[in-house]
Amino acid sequence: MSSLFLIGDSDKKSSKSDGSNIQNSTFSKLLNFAPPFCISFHQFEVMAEPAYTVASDSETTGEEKSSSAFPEIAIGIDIGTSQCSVAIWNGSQVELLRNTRNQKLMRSYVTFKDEIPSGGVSYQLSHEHEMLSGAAIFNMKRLIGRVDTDPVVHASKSLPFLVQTLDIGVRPFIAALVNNIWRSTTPEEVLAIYLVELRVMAESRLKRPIRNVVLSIPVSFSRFQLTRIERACAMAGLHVLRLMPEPTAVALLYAQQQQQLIHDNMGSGSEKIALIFNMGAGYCDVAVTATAGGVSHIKALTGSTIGGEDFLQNMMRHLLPDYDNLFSSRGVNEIKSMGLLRVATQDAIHKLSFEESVQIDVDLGNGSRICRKVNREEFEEVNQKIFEKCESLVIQCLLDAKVQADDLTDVMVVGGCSYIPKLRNLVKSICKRELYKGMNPFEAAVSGTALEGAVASGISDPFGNLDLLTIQATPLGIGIRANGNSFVPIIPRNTTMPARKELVFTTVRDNQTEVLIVVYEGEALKAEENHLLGYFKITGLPPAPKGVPEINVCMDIDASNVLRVLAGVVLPGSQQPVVPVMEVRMPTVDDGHGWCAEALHRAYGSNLDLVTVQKK
Amino acid sequence: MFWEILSLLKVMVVEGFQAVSNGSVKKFTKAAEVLERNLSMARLVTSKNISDDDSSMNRTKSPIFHVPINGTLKIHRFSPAEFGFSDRFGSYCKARMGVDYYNVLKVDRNATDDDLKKAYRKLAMKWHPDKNPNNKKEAEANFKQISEAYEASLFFILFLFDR
Repeated sequence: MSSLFLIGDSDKKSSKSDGSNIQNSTFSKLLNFAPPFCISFHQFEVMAEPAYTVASDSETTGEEKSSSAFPEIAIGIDIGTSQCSVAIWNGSQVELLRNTRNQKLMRSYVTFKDEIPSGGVSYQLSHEHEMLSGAAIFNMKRLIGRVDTDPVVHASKSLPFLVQTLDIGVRPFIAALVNNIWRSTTPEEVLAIYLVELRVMAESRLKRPIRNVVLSIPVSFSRFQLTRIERACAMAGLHVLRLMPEPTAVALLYAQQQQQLIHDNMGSGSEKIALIFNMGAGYCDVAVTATAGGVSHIKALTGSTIGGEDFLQNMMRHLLPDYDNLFSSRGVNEIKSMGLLRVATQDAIHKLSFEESVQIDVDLGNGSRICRKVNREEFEEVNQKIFEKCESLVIQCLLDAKVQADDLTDVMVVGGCSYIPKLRNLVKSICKRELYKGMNPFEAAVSGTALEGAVASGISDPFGNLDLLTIQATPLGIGIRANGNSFVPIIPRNTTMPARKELVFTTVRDNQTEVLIVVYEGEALKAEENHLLGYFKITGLPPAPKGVPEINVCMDIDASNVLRVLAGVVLPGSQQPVVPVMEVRMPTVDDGHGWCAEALHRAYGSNLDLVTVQKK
Repeated sequence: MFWEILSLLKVMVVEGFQAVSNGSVKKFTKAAEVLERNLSMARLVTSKNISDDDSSMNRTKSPIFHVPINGTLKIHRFSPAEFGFSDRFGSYCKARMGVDYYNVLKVDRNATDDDLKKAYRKLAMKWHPDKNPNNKKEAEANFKQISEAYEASLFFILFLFDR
């Protein structure tokens, strides 16, 4: 069968390995920052690699580089909504890298002060409030790859910088206040600036250039969001070896620990089922893994965009019911007040993990002052809905994994929210287990990515400490629009990857000569409620009554997690395809895909529809 | 979501059962396929392979078609060996996919769940693309086949219901 490549692999060879940075006009904005970057990098005394300019994004994924004689160990990066960390396999164990201020966990933000951006890796805030002056952009992991109709973007309007929406399905307007002027930016740009700092930090620590990375990502990220992460990495000159859902990174660390126990003759070799609950500032993820012999087989993944940020916003609105009114305009004073309230509330929430009640006293500077006691029950009541959602994610994950609480060997709670007593209790009570104590909840995910970095780089360990493997599962279903406006999954969620699945469809009209394949990712029954990944037409179908042509749609996820969609048409009685098989790499959509999906629907209606066919 | 799917399928499966008892296997197969698509790990014992030989319809007293009293839908999973159905299941898969899953996993037909898991892990370590950086294409193809065989061999979903 002949295959037609729509989205070719032709750009794969564009060099990322030789360091020549292809400059793309699209990124001229970011390139403008290169000179100040280069200057500030001198303080690290990094060797040779000259320019930390931004590479083209044209080579976002693709094949991994051919292995050289000395395999380069990929570093693991945990990009958190609020904190980031970097780790590497140092030859005998995982080591977290520290920045010049001796921190292992670094705040995730970039400030655009005086037009020179600097991030939380190298830059020391003179005061916490500086981050909230309007010049700092943070929470980029929550904003990346989202259109302006997304509720998460709307919720981000309460952040102390500018997030504006037109609600038409395009990129939101995000800007930092620099010398009283709004300077627009994008989450990718902010992330790229931050990643460059992380890279410089790692290079100065390891005294070698860094190219390959394994990044942890939230379970609920769509493939479109993954391309944005890859783009940010490409902009920072980094090649993504793997993107690992956060709890699966933790699962790998657990697998290694269990192997270690066997080596020390303390564990048994039997299969262990573990549940991992990971909640940070931006996302909540759950995984169930079956582990034995160093293999971590991911049975199920569930995730949602809920996290510490939601606790914080609920609390701020609880403390200041007039919040949205007061801060509907975005002047310097409003941003300052918002910042003050944010810091005070955040402090209070942290303290409530260890104390029953806490005194809040904050002068917002606009004539209002909040002075009151808040107790833990109040916090739990205000955030009742979030806790319920967490509960449902855990229950769903157990169901998806076809595992009962009694089958679990260990239960882990990790991430920035892991000390919230209510969360620990709800996980404990659903799983009927005490929590696993063998890992640092803030370092587990990054340690897992470092292990995967070593394993995926082909590193072996004489003591067998790297005889590990993660068998990943798809966190979301992938399918197409058919049967009217339904979403028909072809690769269901929690399918082992790499995977290849297919389904047969047919036409809905007599003599229908074209069909539109619209690819979505998600769990919703209605097509448009899922994430649009792309679309293509199959044209030139020979005239035939409706329901006769067999349109075979096949989806393939390869070892590098690249999704390709193949579509072929055969008429009954013939084995030969009547039109050339189309093979398209997804996602194909770009920014503004929300708007695009609607336009597509309006323009084509149901003219090029498909229906499912019963398998024979 | 899970329960939504189930409540959706409940009707179809019950309908399907009636269809089976009327001697028509078509409806049941369809319901089973919808289920199969939605529950990725599940491979159903469809009416098709039960009625491979007509006499099997008389086996409704066997565990497979045990009928509880209250009329609710229940799911039970079991491994092929547990009920001594491995041979039938093997041939079902073979007919369906053109692949002998037991052969792919290199286990014999009396393999238990644990045997299957062990075989899968061993083969995954050998053929996962992560472990074959210089032989990606072949490894990937093999791994996909192993995973499919494993998923298919491990679980049955069984519907027990009253009419």
